[in-house]
Amino acid sequence: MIGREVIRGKVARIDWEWYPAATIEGFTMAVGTDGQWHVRANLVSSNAFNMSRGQEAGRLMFIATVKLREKKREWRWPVERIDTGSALGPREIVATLGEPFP
Amino acid sequence: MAITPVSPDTTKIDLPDDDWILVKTRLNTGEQQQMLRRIYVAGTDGRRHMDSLEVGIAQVAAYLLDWSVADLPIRGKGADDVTAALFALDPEDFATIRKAVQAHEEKWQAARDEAKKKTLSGASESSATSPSPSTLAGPSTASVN
Repeated sequence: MIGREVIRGKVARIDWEWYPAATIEGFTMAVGTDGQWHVRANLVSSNAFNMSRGQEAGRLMFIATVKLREKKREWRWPVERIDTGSALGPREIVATLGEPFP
Repeated sequence: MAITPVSPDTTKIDLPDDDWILVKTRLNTGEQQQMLRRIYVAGTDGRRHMDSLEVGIAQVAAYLLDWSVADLPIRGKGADDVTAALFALDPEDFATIRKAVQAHEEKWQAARDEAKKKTLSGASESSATSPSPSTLAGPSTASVN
């Protein structure tokens, strides 16, 4: 990942609207020099159907409770691109995210 | 109608006094099952019985995603938290929300029933070997090509 490290977190999830798509345990998020958010995360379980359809619809959301902009709350990042790899089971994933919002 | 999975679409419903609720446009099977499991509880006879007091809350909690009540944020929250927020409302306010959700569900079901009727009548039109409508049993709304 290019850019400075901004946030590390333990627990997060990826949802397709309100349908759960993935559970994350451990992630590192950074903002690139181009202002783009990136995340590297440990996916521990996922609903392949919701992940796939959510990706197709462009409506996946990376959600985590972190301190950002002086506020610790649940933040949401739209998932712009995601690479979940081809393996099954727990694995590392990387994603490009949009601007966070509460 | 083709079998398709339910997409998580939302519908915003305006309420009086500039309030609003955001609801699921439709429930999928799992969400419907959860709602019914809450309404129909197991009795001492081992059978499920309807708990009429749960009907309204279960239906609203099944559909509700967000609302304009800034003091009670519910977006992204689970069913228990949404239920707790609903319980915190004035009973009349809850009744307003419940009526809105019921009307939304009825409207969606009516639209679905209408679409089914059109699909069925369309299917009898397109069959090349089907008999003329006068010999068919049931509603004769199809026209002959």
